Amino acid sequence: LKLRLHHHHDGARVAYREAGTGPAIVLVHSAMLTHREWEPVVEHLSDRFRVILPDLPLHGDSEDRPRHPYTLDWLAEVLAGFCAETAGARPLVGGHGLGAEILLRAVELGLLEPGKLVLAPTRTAPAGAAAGATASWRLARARRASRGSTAPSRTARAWPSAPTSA
Amino acid sequence: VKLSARSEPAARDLVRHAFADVGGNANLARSWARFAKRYDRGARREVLDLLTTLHFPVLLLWADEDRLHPLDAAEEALDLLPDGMLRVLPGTGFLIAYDDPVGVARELAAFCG
Repeated sequence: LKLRLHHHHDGARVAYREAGTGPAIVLVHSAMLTHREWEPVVEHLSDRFRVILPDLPLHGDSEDRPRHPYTLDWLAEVLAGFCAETAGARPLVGGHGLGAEILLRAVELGLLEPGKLVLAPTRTAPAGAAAGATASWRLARARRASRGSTAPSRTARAWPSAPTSA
Repeated sequence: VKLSARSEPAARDLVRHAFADVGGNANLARSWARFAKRYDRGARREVLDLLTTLHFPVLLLWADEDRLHPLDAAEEALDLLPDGMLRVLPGTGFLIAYDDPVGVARELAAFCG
């Protein structure tokens, strides 16, 4: 895979590799990894797609100078610009972990309009927090039921939207 | 944290490669500090609202042995997506493309082709 560079308008560089011919598909790696995370699939896709594997800023061979803001919004802007230039309008994009988070933020900001989007395991839904809240609500309900008391417990009162009937 | 459910030896090399440069690069350390300071680790409920508005096809390509990203989260997301699809690759961990490259490529090609 040959190393190429994309230059964002603020000077940030995005290093990327591409292989194959066909419709472009951009696959974005997760935090603390590099484009190599997707390398094993390239040989199985390159006969049908032009597979584009960027290194996110702060990763691999991409931008790491401290003068850039490195906020989620900035990363989204850089990645959206990258997708537009390397893959054209309505690109096929996929992301894993942080990569998927950045792609979703770019969509949220209206910077990126994918033709199709692939989300590999990522914090799409903050399931931890949601599951935690649901679990504590269930626990409170079960305790209340086992005590046979109709008075709402302290935990239950912390969740005013929870239905009161057990 | 175990990244590869199938203990792929190449997965260890991947992580080593990703960190090879960090020690000698002061710029990178400072930039990472900036990122870490601003990155919101908390729950972003607005992502759930966003999912309901995505009017293009979305494939959730999930691993079944990734404890950091449980299947519940993907199922919750699937319920919200107007045009969503969930595919789970058996016996894969966080490094899904290392654990099952053929499966990942197959799902990507079927979805994008």
